[in-house]
Amino acid sequence: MKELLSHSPQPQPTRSGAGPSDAALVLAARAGEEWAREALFRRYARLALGLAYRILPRDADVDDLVQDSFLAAFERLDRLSNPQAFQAWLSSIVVRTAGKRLRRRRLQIRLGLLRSEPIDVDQVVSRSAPPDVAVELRAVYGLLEKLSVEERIALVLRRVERLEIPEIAEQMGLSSSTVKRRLNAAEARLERAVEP
Amino acid sequence: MSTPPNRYVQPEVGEARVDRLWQNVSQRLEPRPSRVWRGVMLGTALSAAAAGGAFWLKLPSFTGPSSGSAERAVLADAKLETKSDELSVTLGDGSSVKLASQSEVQVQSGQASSISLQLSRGALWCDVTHREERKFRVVAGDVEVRVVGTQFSVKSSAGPSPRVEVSVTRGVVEVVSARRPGIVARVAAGQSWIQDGESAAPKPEVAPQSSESAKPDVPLPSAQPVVPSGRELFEKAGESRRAGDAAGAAHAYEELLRLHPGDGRASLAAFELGRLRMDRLGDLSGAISALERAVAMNIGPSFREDALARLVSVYASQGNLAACRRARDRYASSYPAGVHAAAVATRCGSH
Repeated sequence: MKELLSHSPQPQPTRSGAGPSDAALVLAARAGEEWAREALFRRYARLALGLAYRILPRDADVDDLVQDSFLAAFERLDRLSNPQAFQAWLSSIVVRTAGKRLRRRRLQIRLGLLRSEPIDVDQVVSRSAPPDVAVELRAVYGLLEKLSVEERIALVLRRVERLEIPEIAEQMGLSSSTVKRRLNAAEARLERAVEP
Repeated sequence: MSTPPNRYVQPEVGEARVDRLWQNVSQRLEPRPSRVWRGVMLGTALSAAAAGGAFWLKLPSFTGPSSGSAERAVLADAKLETKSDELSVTLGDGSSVKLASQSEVQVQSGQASSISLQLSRGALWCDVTHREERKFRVVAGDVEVRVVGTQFSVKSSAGPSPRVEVSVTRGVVEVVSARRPGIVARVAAGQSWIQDGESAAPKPEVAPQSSESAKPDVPLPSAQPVVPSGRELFEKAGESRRAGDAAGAAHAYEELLRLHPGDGRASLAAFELGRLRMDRLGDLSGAISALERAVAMNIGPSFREDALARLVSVYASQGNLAACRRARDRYASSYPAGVHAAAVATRCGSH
């Protein structure tokens, strides 16, 4: 399976080079070894920050989201059946935690406890992006706040992370048919948004 | 295979950010304090209860090596002493105190209305949550630092020429020295206050005042303001922004513009300040002045376009249609096919 966190930047190796495998670190962390948890965190913090930022592009929210995701991962390490699959497992936790945060945020906005702020597309999309990529990314990020939470996440995973539908379904904890429906709705709105 | 688009949507991630996140995660992972610390908490809680207060120590964490032979803090009767490690403590109200290695501090008072720490030696770093009803002070030798709600450090060295240094990174503290009775020195963010052997008998450049006739606070002659560089302020603003502290970030940008108007980062700082005031702080007038300044400072073309578009938006939000139209025309003449052209054209009414 293509792993959601597998794109740049690459996982941080240990100082000595490749370092212990994820499986070894997970087993040590399960045994209560603090150094192993820290090693896993430092190996995947940048990747988790990147994924979190792409779903929820506000720096302050991103830090909270990544902390919550790692905490959830470390507290549920015993449930990880394949210790070598930590990376993909962590990414699914980031995705699902992001969904919860987005739902909570939208509720707060509805209750008047938060102000709705548009995503600053110019800030989010790198100026080094090729023109065609930049146009697509700007359209996606200009639309996100208007989509439902599931549509939003599905669209980011498809258009920005370039995941296939079964992979999106696994990350989001939904069926493939539900993901297809969410993507169809989001893509239709995206098309309308970019129509001249 | 083409490059995935996610490469072009990346946050800024430095070592400091990763370190800070790990510290937060590891603290929250702590299931409960160690046995030593439970003793500390019990002792402190008892003393606080006896005093009718509600101050407690919560979730302490060591920032040094987490295992092995490293010496750790020793505490007796609310006295904190570090050997080779640093020690971080979060107070019940969210304030945090970090004790440097080879340091010693005594909790003199730990009540809801008054927290008093006596620094015997070493250095203490404090990030204090502002609470109107609570007094927070640190005493080092014959120097007393009164805290309003700020971030500061106190260093105390003994020996033949004892020296106390107070450095403030955010907010304001008041410093009182027994050597200068009646004089209160206000030390603001970016400033340091130092008392050493030479300032033990300071020249009477500032006449001692009684508390009754005290004029506005006067800095001691030994106060040494330290002006942060443009780079430091820019980085500080970025850190505050990433931490969600919009007001802190805006303050750092303001300081950069005030202290270093010719700095290469000043135009970007003005733009970012305008953005923060507009999007986060609800200060539309302030946003206008910052964005106009960014445009006048010849900011880079892409930022200039954004700044001009934002000016249209913020004038429209203010209901200042005449200014809005002028800004709209300015944008349209500069960027007739700009990325905001369509949105800008619909603002300010039909004229």
